[in-house]
Amino acid sequence: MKRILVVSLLLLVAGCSNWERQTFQTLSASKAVLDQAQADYTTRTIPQTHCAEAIINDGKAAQTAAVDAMVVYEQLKATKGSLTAQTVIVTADLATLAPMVVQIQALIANPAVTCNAAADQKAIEKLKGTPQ
Amino acid sequence: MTIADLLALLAAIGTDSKTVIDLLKPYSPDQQITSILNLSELLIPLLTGLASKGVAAYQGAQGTPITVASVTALLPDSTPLPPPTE
Repeated sequence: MKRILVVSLLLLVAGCSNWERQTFQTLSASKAVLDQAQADYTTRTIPQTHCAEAIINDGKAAQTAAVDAMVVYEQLKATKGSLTAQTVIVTADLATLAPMVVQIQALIANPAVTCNAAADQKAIEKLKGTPQ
Repeated sequence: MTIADLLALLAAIGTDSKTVIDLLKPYSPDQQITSILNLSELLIPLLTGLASKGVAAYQGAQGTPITVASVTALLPDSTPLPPPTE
């Protein structure tokens, strides 16, 4: 019984550690993409349009939210607080960030198409939010 | 699929596209097609470069200790973007 408990605990610790590592690495990758996109926008490699500015700023906001959530997670871990709820928050923030990173990649590949698609999506969301 | 998986996929697509463009170019007498191919050729290194940076950052973060300070360092560049010109 003791052996099972020890193995279960070890698996749990290893699982948490893997999740933390993957989250940290994912945030490192998204930061590199965002910083590069900002540098490309500043040097006009990406056209300085309202749409490009909005996409990069949305990405930066999502990155900030995810990093802030992960900082809270690390602080909770240090004080031996419960990590379950914060894990859910960080995971949700990462899920928001992922499509934004993809959109920034698309912005580099084809700014006009990406901006038209973003405008269409906003129009659809606006229609969905309009009371019938 | 993680962000790193997506970035690696985009980098691979970029490399494959370059090969396809090189194969197509000699057989594209049409001026418009040639222009599109030339434009694609310019964009692919940018796309591939961006994806590679993400993958490199992902791999580079493998050995970094995870602390409040190292996580805080992942905040994006706080400098505001220049205002749009178009």
